[in-house]
Amino acid sequence: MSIDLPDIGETADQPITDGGQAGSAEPKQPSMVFRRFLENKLAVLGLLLFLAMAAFCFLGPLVYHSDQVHTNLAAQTLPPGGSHPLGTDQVGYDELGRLMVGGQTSIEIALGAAVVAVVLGVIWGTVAGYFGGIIDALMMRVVDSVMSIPAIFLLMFLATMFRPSVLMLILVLGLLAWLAPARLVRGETLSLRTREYVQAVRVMGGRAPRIIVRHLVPNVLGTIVVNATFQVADAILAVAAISFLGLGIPPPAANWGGMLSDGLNYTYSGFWWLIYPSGIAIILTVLSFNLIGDGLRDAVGLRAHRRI
Amino acid sequence: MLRLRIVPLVAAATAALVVASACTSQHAKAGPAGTPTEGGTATFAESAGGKPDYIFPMLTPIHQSIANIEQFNRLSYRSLYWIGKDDQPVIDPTLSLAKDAVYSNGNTAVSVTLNNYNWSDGKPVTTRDVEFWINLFRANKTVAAGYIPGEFPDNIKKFTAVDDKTFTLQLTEPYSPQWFNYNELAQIAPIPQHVWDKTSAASAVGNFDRTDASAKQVYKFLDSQASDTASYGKNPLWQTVDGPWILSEYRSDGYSVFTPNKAYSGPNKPHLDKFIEQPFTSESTELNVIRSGKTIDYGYLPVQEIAQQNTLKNSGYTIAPWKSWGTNFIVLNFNQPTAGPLIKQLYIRQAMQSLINQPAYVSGPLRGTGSANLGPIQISSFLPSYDASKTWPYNPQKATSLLSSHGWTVTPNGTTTCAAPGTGSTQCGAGIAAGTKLQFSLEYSSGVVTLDQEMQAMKSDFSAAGISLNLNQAPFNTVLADAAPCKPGASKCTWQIINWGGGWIYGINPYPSGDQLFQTGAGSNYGGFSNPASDALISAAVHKNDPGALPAVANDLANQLPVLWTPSELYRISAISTRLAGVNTKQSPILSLTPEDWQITK
Repeated sequence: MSIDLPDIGETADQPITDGGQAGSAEPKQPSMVFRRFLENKLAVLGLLLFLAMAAFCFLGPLVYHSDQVHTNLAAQTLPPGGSHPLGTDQVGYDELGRLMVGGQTSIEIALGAAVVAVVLGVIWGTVAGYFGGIIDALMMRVVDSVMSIPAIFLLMFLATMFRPSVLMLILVLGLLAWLAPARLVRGETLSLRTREYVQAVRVMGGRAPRIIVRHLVPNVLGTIVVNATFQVADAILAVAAISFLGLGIPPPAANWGGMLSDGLNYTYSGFWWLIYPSGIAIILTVLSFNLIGDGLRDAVGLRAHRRI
Repeated sequence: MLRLRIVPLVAAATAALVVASACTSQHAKAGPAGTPTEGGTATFAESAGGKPDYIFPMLTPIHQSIANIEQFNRLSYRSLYWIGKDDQPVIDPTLSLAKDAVYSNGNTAVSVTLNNYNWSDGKPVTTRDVEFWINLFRANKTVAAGYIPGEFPDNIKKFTAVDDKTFTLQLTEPYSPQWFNYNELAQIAPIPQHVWDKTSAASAVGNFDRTDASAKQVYKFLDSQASDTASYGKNPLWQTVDGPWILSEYRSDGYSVFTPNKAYSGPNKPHLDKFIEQPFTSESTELNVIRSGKTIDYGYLPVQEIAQQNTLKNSGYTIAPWKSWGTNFIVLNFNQPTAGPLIKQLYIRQAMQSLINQPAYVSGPLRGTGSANLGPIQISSFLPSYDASKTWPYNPQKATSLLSSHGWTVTPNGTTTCAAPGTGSTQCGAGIAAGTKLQFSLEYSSGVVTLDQEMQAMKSDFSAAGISLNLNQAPFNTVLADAAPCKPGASKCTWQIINWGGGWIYGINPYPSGDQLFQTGAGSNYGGFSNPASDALISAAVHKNDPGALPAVANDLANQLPVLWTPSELYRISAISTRLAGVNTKQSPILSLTPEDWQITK
């Protein structure tokens, strides 16, 4: 998983986001974050791109009808044209329709896995970072231990235990991906917990859950969001990789990564329509999340303020 | 007989198909580009995901594969009779460890004389080594692959070593000499008793094999050593061989390096310094490597990329289709608690077979490189043709009719359910309750494009009759391990239908009498098929020299459907580097390798 390392310098200047209760220099209301986000043209482009891809995948089948259940070997690998604008795949499925159906699965799994990974990672990282000491040591050794287990081993083990489904893939990918955000968040939390406003809350009788939820989590939001976008991108690609191990969702379900992987079998045969559409869809979706993440980081952080 | 790693088999009629017509050389040998030299390294591409992983030549069922036997064990351990002469499934006496067997006493006794072979440590291969193999197999027959109740070694009344080179076997009843040569004697691979006959690494070599109890300990020890793949390159056990090659390096991914047995006493001494078997996780990866340079000398062109054959030819490869001697099928588990009662119904099996659109598979995923296959034997000298009335070609209307007439409510594109439980002729059958859904899980090997496409098409075709297939992929070796036979009533028996891809090669047992695959209780009867009438026909083919016995077995099994027959396929479209001399493009029908014939040209 890719990791966006925290910028310590920026973090040090970050204002708190608890509505001013702890002396915020610049409270960030959702509307302000949203306004800053909209001022970032690339971020808006990313959002529009994602909305377009989501509409294509989830609304497209309502407009463009194709049989994505029954194979048609007589129509195998037909080039684009006529009734198949993007041609057909290796078992005769209409490629355009398959792109829509495959996109649904990919986006669902990617978003789901990213949410699972980030939520788990944030909880684990902030708790470890806030309490420190032996709790931190124990929790992070757990992270280290799980990280030391090859993901491929876990995937093969799970493949023998469970029948793949969207929910299962979300959980599996999420449970494999939460370690990186946990480390990332823990590192930031270690820095944040020594800040005056945190100490002030503690002196005023604020308990750990409140400090974590109201004061620490909002301040690592930028890091979390950016990392989440990478998690989404990685999950899309990971689904393709694990399909080979038998963890992929079985046919006739499809996903972009699996379609791309299948298409690569025909690299030398010139069947470009089996490769480019799914590849471009992955690139656009990943790009959209990266742009959104970048914009969100700017919107909640000082960088955007400086830009203004 | 061997399970095959994907894709093999094609009937003789396939010769006119795309690949054969386009690329086969008329010459037996691939044409070298230069002068053959001594030394050098040749690299063979293993099948995608089908790595070798068991070196002990007495295999267990889960290790019984082409990758392990014909393309791994066979390089170091030779059997009494070598099967495969050019592309014909016949005995090649020049590569056999023994001279022709002599039968007497009404075919109840057979005498075999060994040729003068030595082990790599200089000791001669003797009848004691044959006895060692027989004793180990006898004591461990229930766990060893290839055991069929009533056949070897049950049918050996007495083993007698006449001297170091000649032994006789007293048989319990008369056997067809042809069947016994091909399916019994050819299984025996002498193993070095003077090195392996011990119960632990520390124990001294003894005659432990001569009592069943200690023979089991010896087998257990050798099996444990063979299971320790990390030690393959350095374990002294595996350094004593009678074949031309010694395994000198092995990696967990299947990468294997063989070096010549300097003391090899057979014909055709190795010319190469090294013979490497290179693993690949997918066919496309293998093709990428071939196209990228000359690191693979003996690879293959995936069927879906058949259009690339001219490119490979221009890159210095000879293209040759590799046909195998066997049959292709999907295994049904008759003993699985849930699916078993359904699978035991003949009409359901016939309906399922009628939904397999073999012509579409051949023209689609196989790109014309296969042919329809409706039974256990390829059309050949063994079987001129099937009785059409016994076969079940693609006919979805017939499938629907069969189900409807047996009390099922057929729901196309849904799930067909049993509406008339009971054992009457118009009812669903024994063990099938009202409302039972006609659905199965089907596990198949990942990494092979044609197989994946066929299974997707099969799922789609089955839905026409409301038969629901839940597909699940796994790596080849996982599928093999999952396909372990279940005993009737076994509670821990999860797999319902399995397709490892490629079916079966009649390798060790080239006489396709079906006794190892479909006879009740046979070691490789993975699905647990059992039918007394079929057993009787198989028995006749085994014991009698009646030319009609084998066709009777074929027609019966085509109709009884102990498995679902799928199209015959090429094992491979081989791509052989022109820098490699000595490669026979009439490749072994049982898929063995003889790299000792190969030479690098310069």
